[in-house]
Amino acid sequence: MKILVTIKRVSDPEAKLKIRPDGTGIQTEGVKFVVNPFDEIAVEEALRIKEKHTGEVVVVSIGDKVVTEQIRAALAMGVDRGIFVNYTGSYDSYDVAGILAKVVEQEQPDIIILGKQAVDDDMGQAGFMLAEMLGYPQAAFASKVEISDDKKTAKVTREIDGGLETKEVGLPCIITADLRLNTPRYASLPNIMKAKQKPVKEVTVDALGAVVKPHVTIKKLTEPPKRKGGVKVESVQDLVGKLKNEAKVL
Amino acid sequence: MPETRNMTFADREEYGKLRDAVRRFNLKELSPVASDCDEREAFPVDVLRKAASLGYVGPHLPEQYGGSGDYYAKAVVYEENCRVSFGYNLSLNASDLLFANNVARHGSEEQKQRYLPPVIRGEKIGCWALTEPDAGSDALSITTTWQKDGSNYLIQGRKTFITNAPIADFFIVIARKPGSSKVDGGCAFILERGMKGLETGKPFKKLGGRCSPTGEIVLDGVRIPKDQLLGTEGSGFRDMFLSLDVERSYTPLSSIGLAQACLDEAVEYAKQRKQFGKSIAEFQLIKEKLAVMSAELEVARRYVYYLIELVAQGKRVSKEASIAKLFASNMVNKAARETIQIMGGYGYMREYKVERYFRDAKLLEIGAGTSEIQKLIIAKELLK
Ligand SMILES: Cc1cc2nc3c(=O)[nH]c(=O)nc-3n(C[C@H](O)[C@H](O)[C@H](O)COP(=O)(O)OP(=O)(O)OC[C@H]3O[C@@H](n4cnc5c(N)ncnc54)[C@H](O)[C@@H]3O)c2cc1C
Ligand SMILES: Cc1cc2nc3c(=O)[nH]c(=O)nc-3n(C[C@H](O)[C@H](O)[C@H](O)COP(=O)(O)OP(=O)(O)OC[C@H]3O[C@@H](n4cnc5c(N)ncnc54)[C@H](O)[C@@H]3O)c2cc1C
Repeated sequence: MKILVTIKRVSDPEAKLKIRPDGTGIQTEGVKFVVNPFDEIAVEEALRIKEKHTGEVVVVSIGDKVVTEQIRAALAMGVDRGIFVNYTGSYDSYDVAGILAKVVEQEQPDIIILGKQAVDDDMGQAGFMLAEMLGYPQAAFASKVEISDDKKTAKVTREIDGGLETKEVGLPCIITADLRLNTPRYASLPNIMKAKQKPVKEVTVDALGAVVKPHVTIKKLTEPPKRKGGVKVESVQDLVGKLKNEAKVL
Repeated sequence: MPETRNMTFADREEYGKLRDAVRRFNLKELSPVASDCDEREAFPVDVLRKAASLGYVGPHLPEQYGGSGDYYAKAVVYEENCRVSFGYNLSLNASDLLFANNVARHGSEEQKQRYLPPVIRGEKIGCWALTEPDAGSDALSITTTWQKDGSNYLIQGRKTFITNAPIADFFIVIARKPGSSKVDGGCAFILERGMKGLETGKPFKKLGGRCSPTGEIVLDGVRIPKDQLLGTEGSGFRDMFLSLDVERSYTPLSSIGLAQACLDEAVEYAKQRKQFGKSIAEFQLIKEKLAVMSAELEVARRYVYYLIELVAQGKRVSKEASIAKLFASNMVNKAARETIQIMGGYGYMREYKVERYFRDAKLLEIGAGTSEIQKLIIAKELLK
């Protein structure tokens, strides 16, 4: 069973970010970068499926050379090999899905797992677009994944408003990982050392035959407005009055 | 720091990755229990087991027994542990370095097979016992004795201040032949809990490193089979001095980890705390403290990494180990004191971790050879 997992390099969610003066992006100097936490959950799920059903786990990441750091981090968790799509221009979710579709054509995985969204720009679209492009069934926001013994279908549980929904999808399929799917493992020392020897294949967008043509461009980033200090209210009546008349939420 | 890249192991990518991984593990698993374990004087054995499952226990030990044969990895784990809980590392170190490294270096094949795997898996805990009530710095003055008794050895004496003694499964005990003097007549033995005549006392109440149980061992005519001898008869002290150089080389990493923890707290606090209408980090007297802490820490860090390079390459490091230990332990005591100072009244409270760091730091000027003894060693090498 071959499982392909996508990983994106994102700024550490704990880092305090600053916007570049021209508003085109964030200042990257001194910021720590990590594997997108949802992608890490996707990697963990793939490893668990492999441990149960045997097979191979492959990760793919798109970006400039620095993303190989995150590929290595995934290899250190136990992933077998990496694919590094070298691309330095700007792109949107649609371009990412287009590139991934080409990788899928080459690799022919049985399951593709993506994080449900990247925590940097919170687009949350790549998984859906990829499924559409490939014509594969999809199960988004998975909180539980079970592969059938004959490895032909996946039973996926999703947390929806008011309960759980369980879907069955035929393989090959697209799954996107939600927060409570699992807790990613720590990298063990032997796996960290082995990661150095594992293969990472570099490919270009051109060689894949993908076309990058962003439909979406970021015009400007601004910081959220500073929070104003709160006020102390004298009584419950006071509070209710303010909620009604000022906040207009009651 | 691009200009220092690849200068030592610590700059290599895989050790950076290891550092990140251990840091992450420690923040999630060790940090939440560290203050509580200190308060209760209890060792977090479940954290040790989890760490062991990831290969973070005994990484320097040979691969065929479950280690990774990697002295650099040991250094990274050591430093990162002390950044979160000095006491946890103190006990871990007594088990996988003081006990297990001696078995790995001087033990027979049977001894290695019996003792190394369970220690590396975190299932058993080891300790190493030299110090006695009347023999501390003057290690050769120990009065615990061994005697031949047919095909057995008979051991008599008392050890004190032994890390892990109250909880250990395995013990290395250093003893001498009655009437022998100086480095002759020394023997190291491997003992196991449950052997008749071996008793351990209750954990001592201590100033720092409180989650690491320290205690006494009473050896009242312990009779052990011949094959529990570690190394050869009479080689005990010589073997000990060789391995002590290695162990003394790791100790300064405690100072580095602890000082880093102090600096992290000091910087964060100084930025947030406001007095006289601005953050105290804006006062030059506070800036000076932060700058000096950082300067001394980085200088010590680089020297200690260099020392670990020497150790990993199998070089002799007596003077270098003493220089590192002396300097780094002095540095961390200053750093801890200054961090409390920067935090004012809050720093003095148990609720804040720096109060623990301050108490922990003191042991670094005492254990594994006091600062005075380090000075003697350095001077001796200079005046040779
Ligand atoms: C928490 C803790 C854990 C420990 N763990 C272990 C362990 O696992 N195994 C083990 O064997 N031991 C252990 N020890 C013992 C430790 O190694 C000794 O405490 C240390 O070597 C000092 O010995 P001492 O306490 O007897 O002090 P002493 O040797 O009595 O020293 C008292 C003072 O005199 C000074 N002094 C001594 N000789 C000289 C000299 N020639 N010139 C100048 N000054 C001198 C010392 O520097 C010190 O300031 C531990 C100690 C502690 C506190
Ligand atoms: C055990 C204990 C008992 C106490 N008992 C009492 C009591 O009975 N009654 C009472 O009223 N208070 C009491 N205190 C409070 C004590 O007086 C304060 O902790 C002390 O004045 C320092 O204030 P702070 O802790 O807020 O530190 P801060 O004022 O926040 O100082 C933090 C750091 O910033 C430095 N700093 C501040 N301003 C400057 C500046 N302009 N330039 C350079 N450095 C600066 C300080 O020197 C310190 O290093 C007690 C405190 C403790 C710990």
